[in-house]
Amino acid sequence: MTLAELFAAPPKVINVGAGNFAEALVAQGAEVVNVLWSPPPSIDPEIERLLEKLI
Amino acid sequence: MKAVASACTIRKNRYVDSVLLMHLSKRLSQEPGVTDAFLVMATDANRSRAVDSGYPESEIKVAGPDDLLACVRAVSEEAASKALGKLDALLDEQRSQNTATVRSIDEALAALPAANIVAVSVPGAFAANEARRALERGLNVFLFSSGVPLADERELKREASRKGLIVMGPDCGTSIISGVGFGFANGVRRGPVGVVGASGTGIQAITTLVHRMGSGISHAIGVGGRDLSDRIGGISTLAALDVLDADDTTEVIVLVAKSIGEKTRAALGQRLHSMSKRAIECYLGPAGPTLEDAAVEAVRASGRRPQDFGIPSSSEVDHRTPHPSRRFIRGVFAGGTFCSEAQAVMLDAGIEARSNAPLLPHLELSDAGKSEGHSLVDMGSEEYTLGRPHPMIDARARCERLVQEGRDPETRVILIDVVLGYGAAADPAGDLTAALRQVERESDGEIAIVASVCGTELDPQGLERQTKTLQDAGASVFDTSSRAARAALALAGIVP
Repeated sequence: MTLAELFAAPPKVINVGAGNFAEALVAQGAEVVNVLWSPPPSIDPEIERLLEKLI
Repeated sequence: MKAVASACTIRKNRYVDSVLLMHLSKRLSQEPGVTDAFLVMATDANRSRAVDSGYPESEIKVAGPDDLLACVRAVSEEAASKALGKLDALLDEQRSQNTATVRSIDEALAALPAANIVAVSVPGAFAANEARRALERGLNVFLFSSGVPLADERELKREASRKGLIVMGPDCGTSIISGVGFGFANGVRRGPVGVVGASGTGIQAITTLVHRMGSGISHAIGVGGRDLSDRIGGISTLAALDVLDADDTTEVIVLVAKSIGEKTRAALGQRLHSMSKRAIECYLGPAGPTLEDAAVEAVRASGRRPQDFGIPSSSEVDHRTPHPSRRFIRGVFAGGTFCSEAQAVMLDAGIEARSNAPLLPHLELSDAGKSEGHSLVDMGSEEYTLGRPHPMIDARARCERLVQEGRDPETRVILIDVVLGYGAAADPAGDLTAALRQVERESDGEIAIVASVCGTELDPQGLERQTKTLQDAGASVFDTSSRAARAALALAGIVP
């Protein structure tokens, strides 16, 4: 993939995040796959501190 | 309806983005007997907000930052519990209906092997990781998220450059690639004008005005507001200019930005000089061109005769003679670039308006939440959008600010922008009308409302319909943002 290829034809999109943006891309006729994203689980600050000590 | 009951429920480890949270809040508040709904990710700050709003602390305190917290107030306990019972059905209903849905970029690539760009709009703290994953897989990035550290931005852009790719963003509001709009993009026809922009609403303004004058857009490439700072050095801007210079469908290029670093300006100047196509520079600032000037010049430079903008401006501004204490302009903007441009227009007229996003450092508002003298507030800046949708999607914070300005006995003119397009609210003008009418009522018609609409007839909301909605709410609507800013000056008794 080169940068010029991105602009040579309608883009094919992977959407990560807000679902309404994926819907808007679909409404414009783009090919889209939507990633149902969720944040990595948060770590207890105490465990994080212990891990930092160990590593 | 008087609320007598409130209830909360939690969905453990359920992430919902801020736009969807807003839609769900709206839906739950429309359930029978419900007077108020509050849906948030249960961060410390949001849990405090829920408790401060009077929701039951015992239920809220067990939630954590990875959990969805839904609270409602209703006329009875039964109504509250019935509404919350619908939460899961509403969550399922909101899940994207029209796109294949997967859990990771790798799964997405398996489903769409020809994918060539990843659009990232996750919270800023996580955005760089997703962008890095995309680059590792040889994919370009449209990075809408704001709040990405500068060091990450530099590293991502350098990596993209090494791989012959581009990172558009972070904080990239808009791009249009081969007629497909990303983020907050407008419906515009294809044509000979290419745009590179370190400003999302700047791109929206140029592309819509070019369209309304009868021409069209080849591609519009957003690069993020910091790309032209000396700390980034215009890495994505230079890549985008190369693309458009080599692109057969582009005849003339507009480069739009709010600010530019001195060293970067020199490097950029050299590049622009060596390009085979004409580039029109639009850096918003005192004595600089307006967005309208740049769009008109671009249409002319591509050999077309600019047509009229299509929607007639308000020919007369009808208002009562105000009390002499009313002398200040208060701008309440959704688009940051319109806020910058209005500041520039006013500086050119000798007026130093204050702002939370000032063009000149000494004009920063001491408290972004309170206007002083002439003030122009960008409601899309980070202090207003952390953890909540942008004002182009969610007008609530802007409506509150409009009412606040309306109650200030020194306010003479309220200046607003309304931004249409894919990704924006379904009825952005309609979302403001109750607040505008309240301003009119509470000021006894002494405050003039001056507006501009950024959009086209191809936008889902319709330019003409949105203009009429604003006019019906008492606003004077102007063709372009700079004309609206000049009209505001005239109404405040200042000759631009």
